[in-house]
Amino acid sequence: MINNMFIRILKNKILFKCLLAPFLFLLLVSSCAQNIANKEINDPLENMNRSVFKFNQGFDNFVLKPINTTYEKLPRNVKKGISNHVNWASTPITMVNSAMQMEAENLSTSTIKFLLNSLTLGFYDLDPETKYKTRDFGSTLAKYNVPSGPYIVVPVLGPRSLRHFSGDLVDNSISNNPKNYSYNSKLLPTKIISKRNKYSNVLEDINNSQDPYLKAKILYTENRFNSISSKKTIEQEQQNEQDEFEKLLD
Amino acid sequence: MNKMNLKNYWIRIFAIIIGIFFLNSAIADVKTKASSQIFNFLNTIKEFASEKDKSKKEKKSNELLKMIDLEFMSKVTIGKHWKEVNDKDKIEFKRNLFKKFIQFIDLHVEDFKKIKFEQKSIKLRGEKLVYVIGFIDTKKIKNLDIIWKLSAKQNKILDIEIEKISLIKTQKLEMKELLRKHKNDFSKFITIYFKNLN
Repeated sequence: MINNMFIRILKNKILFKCLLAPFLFLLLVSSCAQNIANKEINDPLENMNRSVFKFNQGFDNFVLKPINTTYEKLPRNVKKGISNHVNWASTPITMVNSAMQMEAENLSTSTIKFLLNSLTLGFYDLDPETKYKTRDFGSTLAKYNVPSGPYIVVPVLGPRSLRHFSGDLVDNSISNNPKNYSYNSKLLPTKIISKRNKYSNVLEDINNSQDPYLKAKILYTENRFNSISSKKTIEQEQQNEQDEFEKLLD
Repeated sequence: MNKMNLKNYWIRIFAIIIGIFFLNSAIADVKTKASSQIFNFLNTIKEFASEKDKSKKEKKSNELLKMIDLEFMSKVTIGKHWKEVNDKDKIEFKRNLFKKFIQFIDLHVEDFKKIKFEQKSIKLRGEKLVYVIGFIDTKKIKNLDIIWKLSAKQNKILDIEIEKISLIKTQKLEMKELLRKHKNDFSKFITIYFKNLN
């Protein structure tokens, strides 16, 4: 299936340029790179990013916020069902990437959960206690020591590192048929609205901060680091923090 | 001689058992205090959020102030520059940091009114830190992982980690960048950073 997908992408020149070129570029850069556990994301495109961020804030104010106000009125269970369904539909991406990252436990958990929740088409989580880590192609690239690349703000989608964004493009090419957009791409607007609703408090905090662009960048970096780092890296980070706290408590 | 050795042996065993007993009760005491501090803190926040009377609200905010270690939070967020800051600016910074915290509660007042915390475990980290681990339910989101970090000695809240994101760490990163932008001029930085506060 994956082979077919690559052949399809190679045949389609535009897709090749759009999807694989950034990925290959990152792979090339990675051959010179040593350290990927670096949490800091460099921001050489800050001026451009700030303009896109402003656009996104405007888009949020005039398009997403009014939609969210209406969406907010839906019953809680309906909203939960939509959110569950969106997560369920993107589980195959986690399954494929868990396999590529050789994370057997995550692969089995996500597969079992996906199959189980298929009974309700993902609208109802039959096993809320079992959790797995969301994996995307960006995290697979990180696993294989591809550096994060510069920080970018993507119109409508928001903050990303170049690695994360390239990963998104590859993930979408896995789950979509380029000639006839499949279910996952049709779900994208719903996914955006559902996420906008879930994180409306966070967005409010970002907009109320002294420098919303900076706040969004920091929150993205922290969140992304936690979601793609290995247990060992996170434990090391916690230990460093504990040492710092203990020193200051003296 | 053998009898003496045997006697010493039992005395040592007894001393060890007594030592373990006191150590365990001391640890349990620290854990219990930390746990009750978190529940007190959340109750006070709820009361603060529901209170409409200005003077009663201020009283509640003073109670909250006693439960958090503002000095420590300021030290962490400002980092190495904290030593260079004069006393007047330090007081001003701490005052504004607390105001910001109160403003944050006011902004999410509906969420704080109905916040629920369920404790999962309490861990001692080294000799000086206690982590109270659990999850919170807010009006919008259920099952948010949360870690309350407290000082074992003073039993004051040092940091809150929600979904693995430390509030103090994000604050630190933000201030570091903003301070750099203002060429480490702390007084100027305070004026600009807290300009939106009432």
